[in-house]
Amino acid sequence: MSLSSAAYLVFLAAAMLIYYLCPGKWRWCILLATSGCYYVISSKAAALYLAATIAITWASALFLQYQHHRPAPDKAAKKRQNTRCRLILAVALGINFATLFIFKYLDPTLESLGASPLGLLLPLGISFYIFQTSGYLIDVYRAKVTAERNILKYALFASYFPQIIQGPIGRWQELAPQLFAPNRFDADKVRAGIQLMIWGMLKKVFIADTLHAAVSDVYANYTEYSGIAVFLGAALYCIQLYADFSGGTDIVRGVSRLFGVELAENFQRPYLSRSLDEFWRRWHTSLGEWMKDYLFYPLALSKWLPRLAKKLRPHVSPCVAKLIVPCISTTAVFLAVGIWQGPGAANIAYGLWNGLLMSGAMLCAPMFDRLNKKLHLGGTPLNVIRIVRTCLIVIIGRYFSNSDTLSAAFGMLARTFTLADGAMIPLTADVLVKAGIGCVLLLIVSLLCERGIDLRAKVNSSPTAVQFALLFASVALLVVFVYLNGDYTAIAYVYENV
Amino acid sequence: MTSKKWLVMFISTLSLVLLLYGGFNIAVDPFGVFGDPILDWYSYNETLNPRAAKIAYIDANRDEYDSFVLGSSSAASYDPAKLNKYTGGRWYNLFVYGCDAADYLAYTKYLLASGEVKQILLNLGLNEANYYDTPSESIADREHYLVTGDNPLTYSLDHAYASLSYSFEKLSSRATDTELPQVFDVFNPDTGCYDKRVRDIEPIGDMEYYLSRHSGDFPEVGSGNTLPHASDCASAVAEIVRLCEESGVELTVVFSPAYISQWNASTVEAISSFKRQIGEITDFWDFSLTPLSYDSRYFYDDTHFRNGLGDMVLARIWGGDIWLPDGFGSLVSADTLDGFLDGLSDVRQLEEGEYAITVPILLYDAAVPEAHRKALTDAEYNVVSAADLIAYVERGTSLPERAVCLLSSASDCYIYPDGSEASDETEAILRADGVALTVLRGDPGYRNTLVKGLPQTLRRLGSILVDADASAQQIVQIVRSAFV
Repeated sequence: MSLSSAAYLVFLAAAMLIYYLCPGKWRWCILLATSGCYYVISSKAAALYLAATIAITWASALFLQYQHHRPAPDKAAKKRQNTRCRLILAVALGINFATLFIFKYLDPTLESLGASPLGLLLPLGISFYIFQTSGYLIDVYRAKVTAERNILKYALFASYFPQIIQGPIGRWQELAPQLFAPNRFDADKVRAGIQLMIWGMLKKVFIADTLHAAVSDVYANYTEYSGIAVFLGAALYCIQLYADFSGGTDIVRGVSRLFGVELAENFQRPYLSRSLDEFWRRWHTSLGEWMKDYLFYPLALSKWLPRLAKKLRPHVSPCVAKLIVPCISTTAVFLAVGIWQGPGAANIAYGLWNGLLMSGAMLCAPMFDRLNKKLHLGGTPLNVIRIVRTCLIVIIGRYFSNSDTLSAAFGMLARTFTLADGAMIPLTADVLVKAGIGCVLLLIVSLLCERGIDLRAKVNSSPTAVQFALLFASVALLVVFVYLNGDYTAIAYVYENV
Repeated sequence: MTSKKWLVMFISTLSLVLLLYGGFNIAVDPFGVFGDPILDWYSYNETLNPRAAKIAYIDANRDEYDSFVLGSSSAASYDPAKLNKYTGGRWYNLFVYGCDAADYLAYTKYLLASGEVKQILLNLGLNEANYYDTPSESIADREHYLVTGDNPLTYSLDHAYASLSYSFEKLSSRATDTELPQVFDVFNPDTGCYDKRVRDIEPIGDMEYYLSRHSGDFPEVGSGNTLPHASDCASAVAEIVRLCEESGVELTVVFSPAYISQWNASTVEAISSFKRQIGEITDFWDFSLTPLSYDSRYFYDDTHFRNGLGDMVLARIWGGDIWLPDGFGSLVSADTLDGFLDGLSDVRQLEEGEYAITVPILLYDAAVPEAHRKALTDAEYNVVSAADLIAYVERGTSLPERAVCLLSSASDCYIYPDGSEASDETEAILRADGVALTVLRGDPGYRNTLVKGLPQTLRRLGSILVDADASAQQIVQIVRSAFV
């Protein structure tokens, strides 16, 4: 059931009606039932894998907590207890990530080794629920949260239907209190939710879906396209991906607001970033936060990495020595991000491209600062240069993340940098008008938001006629072009099956 | 504005959008299911979805008709006007492209339930044994609720909330519509037939010329087809026969003419078995394989025979006074079934000269000069009139050898199927590739080349025009070259 389908809206309306008709203390049960129904309808047999993950992580968390709270009479007992906790955590995380590996990477790995694939179907939203439940486990291990005793409540946390397809990756301490609260019907939240859903759908339908065919064709048949067309294809893919992912997230967050649950914002106008580091703080924030808390810090604060840095210190300048730990940790994190994107060397290259560039940027930061001072660059011109530079780096990264193979990515790069001859990108007038208007609108909204203008508040305080006109135009566009358009084919979200 | 008010506005806006959407589709009515209140353009509606629009049309005009042709697109060439003449009924051709026997049964039930039915002509082709009850998701293939028994409300809602592209397409087609049929309005709503005013005046010529113009219409097809749905089709036919008998309806079952490649696509055993099953249920007329099956010029393409051949089928069944080749069609009953099946493939292929002749036709934009007529006679050509030519085509009378037809716009160019004025489009279809026409007996294409408004056409098609001031020798030379 696609987020942009009429069936989903009907499902949503029915769920909402039942939710608010139900007594407050039972509302979370309605959410759980709705989540279960949604997952079974959308992914059928894969619901078993989700159920197994829920059961394993729930039991492991309880066991971890039990171990934490067991009295330890002496240091040796405490040590044994910690070892046992680490073991439980390792086993539970091992099962979690082994499941992810089996479904996501085993078949491609077998194929790359020349063996026949098992033909396993990727369970819906597996990356998201594996990361969410793993984060919960680590938080229980770190005693940052108390393990939930009620498996049904925990199941709701792991399977909450608006977010299970494509995040954002939630944290127990933020999500649980909202999920289990007897949320009352709040017209403000519902209004905000509907507005966010409409905005997300417009982005998805008029930008992402419209650009999809042309972009896919460039990536699939890049040898037929000119170097400029290949570059434009990658650039348009960046826009498509942003409209797709952020549009989907807006819908998800909007849907969640209908039930009174606020989800984390996942995107903060990433293409206005002045550095790659900033880009990653604005792009898929929940994954970035997850990686920072559960991978970057554990690596950076581990014993062996500082030890390695200490050994290297005599051979490098003090400035570089200080950055060895963050650089290695950053590279490792982005390697993991690349692997999270999907199987294949191209995704690993994508991770390394980002990790190494960010590490390089850290190392070269003093040099860049001196250069800027010499060139007397600063203020808006410098910011514009930095934004353009960041966009170029991101576009080049997308040569890797959207290519089937590493050689295809390098082939595309070669065509771009040699300005190879070939066809121009196939953009019809219809695509240009729809996506063009959509992109201009998106840019204007992004720039206004970047200046701190609360557009939603502005719209909500505008005259009734303006609000009606905006609403009518948005609803009419969606009804005509999506919901009642027999020719419209919903294109799956890029991260729907990651 | 408070959020509560905004939510009310949201619901109202959504309702308004849905209301406008549905209202627009109902007003434009691309499928003709709401009575097409504004455009009243059933020709378009039937082209988009004949299943829905034809039934809607019949339903609105049920008293006008008491006899019906049922069949797929191969039944399109049965002219209700001729059927009216032969049978005294008021016929409507309820053929629908892509139909199969399950649909014919459904239509029969609907027709019997909706009003008076005196006669039904049930057209079967070999394709009816290839497909049965084929489902389709598209709204452009959806049957009318009066036929399926669907809920009228959901049926109406489905059409009111169909994609707007159908309505916009209809409006844009309307803007480019002309008096003559185009790809978007090929039907004649009153008769249910295709409007072939344009198609039937295309040049026919000799076989080589015809195939060169229609190379894609007669593709190579495979062989060995076993007609997998023959039994399903026979069951449906049996039910139709039973319903017709119960209601006192005169049912005529016809196996329509098949082009030779289509005949060869199936095994003789399968065809024989199919026909045996039908023959054991009811008498039928068989035209599947006739002497004309070998000549592509009697077919628009390999699965659709021309109107002229349709006229010949009707004339054979009801005794019309037109040319029919020997061995054209036979009535098969239970008594003659075995004998018929024994000789199923025994059909003689006609020699070209038995039904086709090349006649140079000289068209004058003035009276025909006597000197020209005399020069041709002296050169041992036989000058024939338009009436001679028409008699050859329609009734199969003989024409002399080395016949030449001299036509004058002043006296001869008067024939047009519906008696209407020809427009620019029809004129342009007059052949421009020479003065000689190959005419086929029973071929309506020739007949329609004699259209009104010829002088304008002749100015455009200079190669056909013969100048009345030309010398007699020049005329003889033109005719001589035409025979070459």
